[in-house]
Amino acid sequence: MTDVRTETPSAELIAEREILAPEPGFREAFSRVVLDRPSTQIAFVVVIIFILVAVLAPLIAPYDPLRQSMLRINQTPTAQHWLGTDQFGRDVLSRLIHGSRKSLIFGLLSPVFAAFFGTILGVAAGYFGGIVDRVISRIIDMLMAFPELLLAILIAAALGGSFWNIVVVLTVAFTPGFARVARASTLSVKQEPYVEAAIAAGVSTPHIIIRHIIPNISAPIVVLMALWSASSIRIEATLSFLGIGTRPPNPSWGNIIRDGLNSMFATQWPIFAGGLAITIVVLAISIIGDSVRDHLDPETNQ
Amino acid sequence: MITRRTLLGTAVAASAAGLFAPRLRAAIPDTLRFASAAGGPRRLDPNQTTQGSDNWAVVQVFEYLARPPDGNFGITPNDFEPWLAESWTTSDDAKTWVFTLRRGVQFHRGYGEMTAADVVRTFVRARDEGVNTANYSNLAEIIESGPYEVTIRLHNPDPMFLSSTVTARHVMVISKKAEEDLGEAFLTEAVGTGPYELERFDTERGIFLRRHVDYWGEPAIISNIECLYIADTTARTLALMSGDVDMAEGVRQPGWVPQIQNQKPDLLFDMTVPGSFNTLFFNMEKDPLQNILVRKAIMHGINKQEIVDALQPMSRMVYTLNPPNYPTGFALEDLPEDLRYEYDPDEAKKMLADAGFANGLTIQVNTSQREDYSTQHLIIQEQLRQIGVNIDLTIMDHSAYHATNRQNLNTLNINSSSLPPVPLYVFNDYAVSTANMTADGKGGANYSHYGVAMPGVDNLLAEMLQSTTFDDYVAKGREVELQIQRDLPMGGLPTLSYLVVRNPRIDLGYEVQGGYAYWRFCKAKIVA
Repeated sequence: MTDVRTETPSAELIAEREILAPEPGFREAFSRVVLDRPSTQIAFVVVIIFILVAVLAPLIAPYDPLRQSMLRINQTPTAQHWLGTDQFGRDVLSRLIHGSRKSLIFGLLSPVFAAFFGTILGVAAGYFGGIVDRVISRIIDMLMAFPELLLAILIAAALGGSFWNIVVVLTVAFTPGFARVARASTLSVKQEPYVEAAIAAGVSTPHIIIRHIIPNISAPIVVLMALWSASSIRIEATLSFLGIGTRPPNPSWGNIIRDGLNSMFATQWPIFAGGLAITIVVLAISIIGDSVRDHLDPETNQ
Repeated sequence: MITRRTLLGTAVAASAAGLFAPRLRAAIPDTLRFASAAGGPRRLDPNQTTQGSDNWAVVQVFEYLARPPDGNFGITPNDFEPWLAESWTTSDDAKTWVFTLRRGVQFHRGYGEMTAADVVRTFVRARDEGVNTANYSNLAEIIESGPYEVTIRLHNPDPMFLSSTVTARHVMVISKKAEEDLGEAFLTEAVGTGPYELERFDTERGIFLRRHVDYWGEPAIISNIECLYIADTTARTLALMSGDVDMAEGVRQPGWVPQIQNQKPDLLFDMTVPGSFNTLFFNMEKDPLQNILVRKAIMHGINKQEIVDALQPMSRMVYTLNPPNYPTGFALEDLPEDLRYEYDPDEAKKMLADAGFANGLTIQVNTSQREDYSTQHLIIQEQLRQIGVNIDLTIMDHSAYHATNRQNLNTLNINSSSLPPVPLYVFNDYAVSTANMTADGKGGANYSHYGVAMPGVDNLLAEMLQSTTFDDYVAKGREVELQIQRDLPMGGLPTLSYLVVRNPRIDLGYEVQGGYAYWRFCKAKIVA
């Protein structure tokens, strides 16, 4: 009878293997995501342009976006005002340029926060199980029972429309989704031999979570972040359109459209300009999100 | 010829119609459809209406004892014509008024002839039970002095009794018997004597009226009136443009009238002048608005002419609390120079510096989503930014806005109200100490705490109320007006006409010049 002895690898050995294991470089991954398809290249350029516009808004906006002029109410495009003016005589182009800051900041900030909190909750639920899982899962279920937009409207109506309130609103709206995905992925990864090995080797729980769980569940989280950046821009625009998002007179693409509705028989440009900006950015971010997903999870693409 | 602009506008309108418009219908023959800016009807009882839009139906169903000419307020006592009362007399001290009633006036739905008992009940309930009992507190006794005669005795003289009391909607005559029979249902099924009677009160869609066939006077020309409720401004505008409604409440924001005129030049615009009083209150319980230099700086920082220009053709200039064409109002040249508070940003900055705010200041302000409020606050916000006053503006639902005002949570709130040319109303509502707003929400509309946070005009008002002639009353009222201007607890902003857009197929039968924010349809006819 052969004596079969299974040798449990030591923690040092596991760490050594991790160091030796080749990881795809950022540049390689980036070029594969962005450069593989022309559509993604275009989307990437579009997003970069919008980010530049947002960053350089004070320099490139032709007018103060808040400056009113009662002599120039509801003008159609002219050489002085390329997208015309709104009902207070404010320059629509300048408001659109400054509005991009709000939309992009919310679009990027809220999914990052939501991913952070959602991953913590999801990993805790998935890894520890038991009562922790039950409590977190029920809270997530409760929050997910509300559509994101409805939840956002409820919170925005309760808290008001300041900058951080909207960030909180969108973060709370998106966190359950991240938590659900993180939990499911953690449950799956937890069964992997390398995690079991790490547990058997006596590696500390925080070390296992940070070194083994999170890196291996990051793919769907990153995909969600990319996809929900687009949703975040959309929801912020919706809240501002409904009058509970960005607080007037500060511009955001949503409230530019809202203001435009009451002037639509004089000039349609605020509606079209705001709508077009939202459409283009949401489309570009969605295309990038799809590419990231295809790269991280090729099976979905097949 | 269809231009690109027209095509674009129509495309946007069509898309918006799909989003917002309620069930659209073509114009119905012999029916006038009116759309007001509210979510739905609340009440039809004239003494219980709490929503301005409901008055459009109320004024068709109920009538006054005496009335001003259609399309205007009455200013002097001679401006009123007999209506449900055939005639009236007043005592020398203006404290006793005797009304002789018209005979043969029939209530709707078979509730019989109007008698003195109905009129007495109407005035008693306005004084004791209505939603605005404060305005009827001067009524001491209401006596049935004959089957068709009513005697009213007042606590204080009131030479303007017809405009201050008799033509206020709470004393539109109701059927006493119907009130007893219907109980709570009277709130929505009230019975009056007017040229139209209630056909259906639909809490979702509106109030539907039909011609009163036993009407005592000239019968109404159009058979049916539909008072519809479309709160969303875009939907209301589209309903009007599509011909689904014949008349609609306009949108009081910059550029709205010109764009509608451009899009559909044949539409008609009926406007009341002066329309709504807009008053800016300084909450003198909030820092730093106790400081009169700050209040004066703010008034000097507001360019009223710019507000008037922005809201043309609806807006008119105001220099004191009452508009210039009202009895106690002032024209600019009649005011002492130091009480004019003309637009002067340099003077405003100097005053702020003297008050210790050389680097500017920030004030938290709430405003309403309703376009006339938010427009004025947004314009003022931008104007005050130029003098270093940063208004941190929170825009909220209209009801929430008024609730926060009533809870002492606002600082620079605007109040808009359509008031008759009765000086007592605006002083009693806004300036007297007994109307002081309290944080428990039980106070009045004196949002400045005038007369409480600082001495006010209570004594001057008491003197005004002892006047027995119209001229004396007005002279005392002008003194009150000047004192308020000196103390500056509040300031008048430009007035804003109440605006209704009308399809040219409807001829109202008279011209709207002033009056309350609702008018009668009994002379209206369909001309196309």
